[in-house]
Amino acid sequence: MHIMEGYLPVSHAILWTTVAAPFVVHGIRHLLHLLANRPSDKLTLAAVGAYTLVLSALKVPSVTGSSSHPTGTGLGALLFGPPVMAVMGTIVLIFQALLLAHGGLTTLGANIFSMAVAGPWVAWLIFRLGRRRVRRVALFLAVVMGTLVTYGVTAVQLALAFPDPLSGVTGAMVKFLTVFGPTQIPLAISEGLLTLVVINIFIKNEKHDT
Amino acid sequence: MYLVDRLACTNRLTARHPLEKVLLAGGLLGTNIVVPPWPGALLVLGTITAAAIGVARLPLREWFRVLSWPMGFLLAGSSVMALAVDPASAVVSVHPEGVQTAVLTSLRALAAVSCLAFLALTTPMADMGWLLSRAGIPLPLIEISFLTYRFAILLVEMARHGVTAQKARLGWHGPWRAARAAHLLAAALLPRALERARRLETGLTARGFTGALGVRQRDRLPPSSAGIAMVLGTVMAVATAGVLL
Repeated sequence: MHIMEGYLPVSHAILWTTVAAPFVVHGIRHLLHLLANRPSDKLTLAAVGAYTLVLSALKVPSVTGSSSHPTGTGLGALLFGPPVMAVMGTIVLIFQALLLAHGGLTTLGANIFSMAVAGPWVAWLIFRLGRRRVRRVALFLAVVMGTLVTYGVTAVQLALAFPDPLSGVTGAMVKFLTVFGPTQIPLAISEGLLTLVVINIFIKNEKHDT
Repeated sequence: MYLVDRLACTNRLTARHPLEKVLLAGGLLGTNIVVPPWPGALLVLGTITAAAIGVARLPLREWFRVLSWPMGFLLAGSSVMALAVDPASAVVSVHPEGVQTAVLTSLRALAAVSCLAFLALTTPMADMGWLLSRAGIPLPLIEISFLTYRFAILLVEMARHGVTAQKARLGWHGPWRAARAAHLLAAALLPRALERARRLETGLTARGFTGALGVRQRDRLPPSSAGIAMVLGTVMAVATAGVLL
């Protein structure tokens, strides 16, 4: 769930763009360095970016009766690292805004920060902490927490922009989290399971090839 | 994605310089977030719809179809804004101030989405990439973006075939089966995408790939001064009317 085009007041749009910009610039430098050494990674990165884009178009029925979709950025962050995912996430968000009317350009900074910065960094840190003990559990938790943090940050961004008339920012945050919760918690768990299945298929294919 | 791609390549503004379309959509988008939503957003929505239907000759049905896509978020977000939580009793109720915020924000968001839709439905992706490269965006980033777009179209096609095959086996019958089918399909797509990437990489390496993908660009006329003037005039007129009315 991204914040829609035109939803944020201009001051908030500028603020979140300023916050997200250093991460994207750092990611671009990292990516250009990576591609200078290994040009063929361009194709793998594009495949992962396309996968993230298509996942977001593949609607999964959710508990609230509406439909939701996985973000796919947790997996990308684990494969290529959070800096690269900040850039790939930005590319995916621009395509989502232009091709699927999902997200927007004025809200791009806010969406980059939630989906391409906060989520991937949390996922990567959790996986780094737990990978030596129980690799698959760490992978599952990393993706689940990465997705939940993405939606948590989105709820905070919306609450800051639209405080509750009676209970202020805190009340608004509770409202947005309550509305997103029933959809996003099962979705985050299912994305964690999906990532495990993807990694299993991936490992099986690699073994088959060798 | 197919619909957007098809309309972008077949409308009456396709051949126009992309800068003119970016200026119109971007100018009205900027106006929309700066001027008060009433009547500013309504003016932006009316102007961009007139440009899309009257000038670009996009089919009315398709235009409104694209605008209807983000309605789910708009309805969910707006309904939350209309409610207020009493901090003392935790009672949730509809609040007049919240309703006003919800209506004005929804109107502004709809107008903003229409600006994006205009740009996406009138400008082919190749033209956008060309404009970005002229604006100084590093070439590897533009190439990755194009490859992502190309792979996405291939994956959507694969997903579409997968859904058809699953539906033929009643895989989408009921919510639980649908969720299971969607996850199986999603899990199968990444290995296929990476396999495609690996095959493309092998093919390119065999042809002496050094990192740069050469793509032939079609001849483009420079932006017309009259077109730019008309676009800027329209944006100025909408902005002025949005502030004064």
